[in-house]
Amino acid sequence: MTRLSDREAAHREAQDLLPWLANGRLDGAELQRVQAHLTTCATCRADLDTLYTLQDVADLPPPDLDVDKAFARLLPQLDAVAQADAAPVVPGWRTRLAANDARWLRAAVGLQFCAIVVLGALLLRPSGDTQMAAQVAVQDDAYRVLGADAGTDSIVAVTFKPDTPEHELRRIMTASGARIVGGPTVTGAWMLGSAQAPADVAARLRAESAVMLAEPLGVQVDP
Amino acid sequence: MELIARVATGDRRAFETLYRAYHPRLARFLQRMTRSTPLIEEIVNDTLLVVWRKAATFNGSSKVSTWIFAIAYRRACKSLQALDEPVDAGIDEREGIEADRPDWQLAQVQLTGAVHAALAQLPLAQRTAFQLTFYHDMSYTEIAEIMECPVNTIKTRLFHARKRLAVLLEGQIEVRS
Repeated sequence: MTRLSDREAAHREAQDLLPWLANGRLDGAELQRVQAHLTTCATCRADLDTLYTLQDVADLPPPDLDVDKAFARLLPQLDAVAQADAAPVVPGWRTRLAANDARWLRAAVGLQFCAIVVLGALLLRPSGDTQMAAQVAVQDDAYRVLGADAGTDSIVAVTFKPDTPEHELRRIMTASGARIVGGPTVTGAWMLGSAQAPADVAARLRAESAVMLAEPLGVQVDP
Repeated sequence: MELIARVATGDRRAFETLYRAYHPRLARFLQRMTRSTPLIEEIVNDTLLVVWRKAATFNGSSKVSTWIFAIAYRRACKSLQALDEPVDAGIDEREGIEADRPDWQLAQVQLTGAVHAALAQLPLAQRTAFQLTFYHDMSYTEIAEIMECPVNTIKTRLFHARKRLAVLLEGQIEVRS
């Protein structure tokens, strides 16, 4: 029974492999097994002969194609490929950064929306800091009325004695680390700006005999 | 230096040599998938353009011919699908219609004609496997690579192709003695 099964297995294998025995592409152990089976199997021998007959039938003649013309038609595409391959990578990222590229435009719009929401929330939720900033801003507005320049300096209002000479004013400015940023006002006051704390600047100004009044007004906020 | 390696370096002379070697082989292979000569030429040129572009990626794990035929087979299948031609039946039906014509019946007296007509009635997958075996002398491993399927599938396709041909050619094949 086992012997019959082995024979059936060999027959099945030979049936599967006969086409490649016919075309000469069978080798090794498979070739030996099939050849061995053929010596005992008339069916497989007949099938192999049929395959040889089929193989002897010539394939269809090649279609009527002009190789030269076909190659000539392909040549421009070779050039196109060569140019594309030689092209630098720059167009790739330029394309990605192009204004019409929806991928990063979507991200940019999203980020802008988030920034607007955050800024809006800050405006609608006043804190101690923002209140102070608002007060300084109000003071800043007052300076604007006086014609002061915009800046980030400490602002000190100062009034000099009327007979103070110009060179003395320059010395006081230099000594106090301040500069004139506005004035004179209708009351004769000058607005001094300084990178130092307004109280310190005011204290140094008060120490000058030519200074009648020096009042720190806070920090001027950028518009 | 192997031809494909020279093509990979952009050697046009090498490419032309390869083109002229494979153009007739591919055209002969493709004509059993479509009878449209312009389409055959288009697929051949598309295939060899891919070879030109991708030669550097050929890693030698298969024969060059297997690689190129696989490209051609894939492109042919895509082209036929794009044309909405039933890949497995369209050509068979056309051949079947011709087989009913009186002039074709006259031609059938010749064995060659009869075999070609019978082959045309096979499903494309069986026909391709048969053709690559008997007219391109390929091993079942190479055919499996080209058709991207297991080796056993190729063996099964050939087995069924032979059975079908035996029915279609019954009484017409004179066995070589």
